[in-house]
Formats: sequence, structure tokens, C-alpha cells
Amino acid sequence: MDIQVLIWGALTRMAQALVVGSPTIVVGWLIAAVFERILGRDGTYRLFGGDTWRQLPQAWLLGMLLPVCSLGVIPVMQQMRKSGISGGTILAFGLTAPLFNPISVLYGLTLSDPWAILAFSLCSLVLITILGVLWDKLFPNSRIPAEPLDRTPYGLQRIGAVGLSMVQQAASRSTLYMLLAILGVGILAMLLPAGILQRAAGKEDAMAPLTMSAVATLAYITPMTAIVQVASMFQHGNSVAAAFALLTLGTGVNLGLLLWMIRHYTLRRSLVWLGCLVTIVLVMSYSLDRPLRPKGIEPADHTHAFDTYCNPFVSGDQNYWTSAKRILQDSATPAEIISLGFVAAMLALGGLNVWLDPQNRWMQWLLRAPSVDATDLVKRPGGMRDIVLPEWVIACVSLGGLVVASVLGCFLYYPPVSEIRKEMHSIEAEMFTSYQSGEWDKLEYWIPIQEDWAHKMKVSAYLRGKPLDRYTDLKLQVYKNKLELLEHATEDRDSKEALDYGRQGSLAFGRLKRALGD
Amino acid sequence: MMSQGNSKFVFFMGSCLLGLLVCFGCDSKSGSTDGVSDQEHEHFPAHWPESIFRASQRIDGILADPVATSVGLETESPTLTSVAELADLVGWLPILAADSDLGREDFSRIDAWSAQWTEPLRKHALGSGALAGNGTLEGFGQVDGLREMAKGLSEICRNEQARIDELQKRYAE
Repeated sequence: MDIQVLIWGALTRMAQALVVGSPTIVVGWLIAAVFERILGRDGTYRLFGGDTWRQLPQAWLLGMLLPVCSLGVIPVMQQMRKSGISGGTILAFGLTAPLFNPISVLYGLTLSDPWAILAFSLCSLVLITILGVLWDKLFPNSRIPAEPLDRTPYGLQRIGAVGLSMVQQAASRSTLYMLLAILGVGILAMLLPAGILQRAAGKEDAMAPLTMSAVATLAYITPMTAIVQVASMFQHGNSVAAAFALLTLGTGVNLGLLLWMIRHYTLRRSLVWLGCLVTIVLVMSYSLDRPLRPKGIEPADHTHAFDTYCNPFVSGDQNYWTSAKRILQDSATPAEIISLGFVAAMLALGGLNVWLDPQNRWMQWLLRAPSVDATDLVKRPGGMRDIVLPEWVIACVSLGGLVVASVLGCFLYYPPVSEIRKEMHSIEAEMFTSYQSGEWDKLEYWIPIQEDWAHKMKVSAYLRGKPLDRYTDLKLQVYKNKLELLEHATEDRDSKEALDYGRQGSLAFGRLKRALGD
Repeated sequence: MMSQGNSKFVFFMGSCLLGLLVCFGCDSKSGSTDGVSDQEHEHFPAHWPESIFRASQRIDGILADPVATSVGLETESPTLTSVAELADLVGWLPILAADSDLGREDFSRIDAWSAQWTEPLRKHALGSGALAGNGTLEGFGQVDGLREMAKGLSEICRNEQARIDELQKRYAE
């Protein structure tokens, strides 16, 4: 056991998790602040269906639409609990919110069989309904009375209160649970040596869902990463059962969330919930395996989809610091870096707020403005143009805006096919010189980016209502296959194979461009 | 606040995790080599035909051999019957066609043939062929249709090969 590998591996994976999770952490704080300062306790309670039968389906629908991950969902669940919502509904939302968001569902629709993603979504609805009903039956007293909360005045104070609430969320106990969740990722990296999961999801491996469940419970996966991994599992003909277990437990559960549950609902209840969850997920996984198994795909003997859960280093590696920096630089997108800066700023402001204002006087000052009766405004000259919007309108605009923003975000995340083609053309040129001269580092850098663009091309065409025809789609598929072969040759440092597959890839790319009308 | 029982549990789980880590944690030498170095490429099955031309030749070969349609034929993969191999080959035709310079029209014809014949052949390979134990086309009932398809495919491949030869000739000049 090389202690350097353990520590550096764990730290690298934890830093990676923090970077990729930062956009959805920010969204989580924003949603929690909107719940607290705009919807209020009563509004939040009603948003989740109150005491009616609608609470579970509504929690599922809101969870599907709001773009949070299993870290960002923790402050939201905290607000839901303070609003007097039942434990079953909170846990249902906590489990589904990280599973899907509009961008990831779109990506999922381009799987070899789009029904797979639909089946996965419906199974998640069934899962949370069973779990929620079971929870509320077994533990009917799991809710706490709604905490009293001062009403937020309208205008600039309301905006200020939402901003301050976000800062307070960042410095709340929720952040501690997020850090514990990230610690879980580190522990997993310590337990799993590099590459150990490469053969853990074989199509015929009956143990694959069990292995995946064990790993995924500790892992932290963003919705987008999960759907990319599920797509990769379908593409490689891996176990569909393992894919479902990964998606549900990997994105829905993490160490921080489990500890949050234990803290609020006791250990016994949490273990019952986790036991039921894992059992239902396994039953569903094994039931889905045969019907959804992609046809005509030759199963690959291994996959790299789960390398990110394992330790990135092996004994004998030199210069861990440089390698860790490179891993982080390669995996971080500009949006994640900006969000990380925002997370850091919020944490700093949160710390300052706790230090300078332990009595919460700033929030009290913001809430002090007198509430204005809307009828008074109507009487004032020009009052009709200065409308005081009710909280529910602001809440709908805020939450609906988040959903609309994530839908619009799809169009940014998946640019037009013509732009993707240009990007891919430039990368292909970089790869051409790299495989000719055996520049392995460059190839290792460019191949995953090119694979990502290739996936995006299909989604982009689909998103803009002009799906690729079968001829072009298969040309794209051939190109992706060649890229994968080149990737393996690069890993093996096999110059002859790399040259051969690189040339085949360039040829396939030329054919793809012609099919696209170049 | 966290109850005493919960604190004990967290402490217990933490100790277990630490114990696991110390006992089995990250034996990176064995882990990495197991995972990465023996990825010797098993990307393709033994009877993967490399190109649409090879696939066409192999389909012709299986259909032309009287043994294949009556009492079985030794296949290129020792674990496959000739019908199962034929089903695979026909199923792979679209992706092989996409991995060539064939135009949309020829591709569409090949794709349609594949869609038409793959499932019946697979069913036959799993059903009567498998039951008979020798995996022949006996009892398939549509062998003539298959031969027509193979003829059409050969013609497409011949024309494409002629086009490539012509191009190479011109390039050499």
C-alpha cells in the first residue's frame, strides 16, 4: 500500500468532485434561498402538494426539472424539512432531483435505444412512489412543524434577502454534509485501485448490479456525468442492470446525504430506507436488463466509464502534484471554473456573515420594511404600473426561469451541427499530427474531447428538430468506434496500431463530413 | 442534535471503513496492471469481416456451399454455426457499409436487406438450427431470397471495387 498514492488519489478525486459539482451546488443554494425567502414555509409546503396524494408525483416532477445534483439538493431538502413537508416527499425529491435534468435527458435520448431513458425515468417515478409511500406508512411522524419565518417584503429588500439567504446557505450545516459527500469520493478512491472497475459491468456478469450498487452508494456523480456513463455503457454493450443501479444510486445517494438522513431521521429509519432503496433498485435493475439490452452491439471486454471512481495513480508514479493538476485542468470546463469561483466567494461571504453578524441582524434589517397593501398602490398616481408582485409569481418566475435557463442552456451546451463539425475538424487536424508522431499526451488530451463533440453532434441535430439520417448517423458511429480504437492504442502506447486506427479515423471523419454535406 | 446511538454508529462505520482501508486499501500495483495492460484487443469477434467486401465474399461462401444449407459448415469462428455467422454478417452490413465510400443509395439498399434478413436468420439460428445442433439453413424456407440479396450485395461491392481500382489507376498515372 503506497500511502502517497492513497492520499494524492483521494485528494485529486475530491477536488475533481468539487469542481464538477460547483455549478449545481450554486443552483442548490439559489433554490433553497428562493424557497426560504420568496415561497416561504407555506408556499414551499403547497408547492410539494401539501398533504394530498400529489406530493410524491409533484416531488418527482420538480426533481426532474430542477438542475441540482446530490450535493446541491441538501440545502433544498433542509428548507423542505423546515417547511413541514413529510419525510417521504423530501427523500423522494432528494433522490430524483439529481437523477435527471433537461440537458442530461436530451443526452440520454440519443442512446442506442431512446426507450431506455424513458424506462429509466418511469422506473425512478415508481421507485420514489414506493419508497415515499412506504416511508410515510412506516414512519408517520417524520415531519416537524413548519418553522416560523418572517415574511419577506417586496422590492430591493426581497432581492437582498434572497442574496443574503444564499450566503447563509453556504455557511450552513448543509455545506458540512456536502463536504462529507466529497469525502466519500476520496474514501472510494482510496479503496479502489486504478482501473479495477474496468471489467465490473460485463453484459453477462450477474454480479455487475451488486458491484455497481456498492460503489455507487459512496460515489458522487453529477447528472450529466451519470448519463454520459450510462450512454457509454449502452454503447459498449455493458450490463443495463448495472447502468440503472449506477444512475439511481450513484447520482441519487452519497455519503453526505446518508449522514444528513441519519441526523434528521435517526439511524434505524435511514437504514430501513437505504435497505428498501437498494432492494427495489436491484429488483428493477435485474428486470430491466433483458428487455432494454441493446441489440446488435458486440460487448466490449472492458470499459473506462468507471475509471473516475478509482484512484487515478499507480505505485511508482512520479510527481503527483503535476499529474493531479493536469487531471483537474483536463476535466474542468470554463463554466465549472467560474462556478467554483462563485462557490468560493459564497463560502467566504458566508464565513464573514457568521463572524460579523452572529445575531442575524442584517437579515432582520432587510425584513423590517413594512409590507404594503396592494390596494394602496392602486390609489397612488401611476400605482398600476408599480405592481407589487405576489410571492407565488416571483417563485414561479424564479423556479420556472431556472428550468427555462437549463432548457436554453441545452442550446449552448449542444451548439449547431455546423459549429461542431468545425470544432471536430480542428481537433482531427491536431490528432493527425499527434498519431503520426506518437505524441501520446496530446492524443490522450484530444481523443476524449473529440468523442464528446461526436456525442454532442447527434444531440444537437436531434435538439434542433433535424435528427441525423441513418446514413450520417452510422458514419458518425463508425468514427466514434475508430476513436475508441485509437484511444486504446494510445493507452497501450502501440505506435503501429495508433497509426493504423488514426488513419482509419481520419478516413471515417472525411466520410462523415461528406455525409453532412461538406 | 445527533443522538448518542447515531454517534456510536458513525464512529463504528468510520472505524470499519478505516479498517477496510488498512486491510484491503488500494493495492495500486496489482490494480492498475490488471485493469490496463491486458486489454489485448478483443473489440471484434473472430468472424468480424473487416470490410463490406469481405462480408459479401463470406456470405457468398456460406450460401454457395451446399453443406451450409444442408448439413452444416465449419465456420470462421469455432463456436458459431454457419447460420449464426450468417445472421451476424447480415446484421453488421449497415455499419460495414458506413465504413466504406458507398453512396446513400447503395447504403440504403444494404440497410434494408439487413433489416429484412437479420431477425429471421437470428431466430432460425436460435430455433431450428440450434435444435438440430448443426446450424444449417435447412428449413429456413427463404434461401432463394437470401441468395438474391447476396447477389445484389456482390454487385454493389464489385462496382465499388471497380471504382476504387479506377481511381488508383488514375492516381498512379
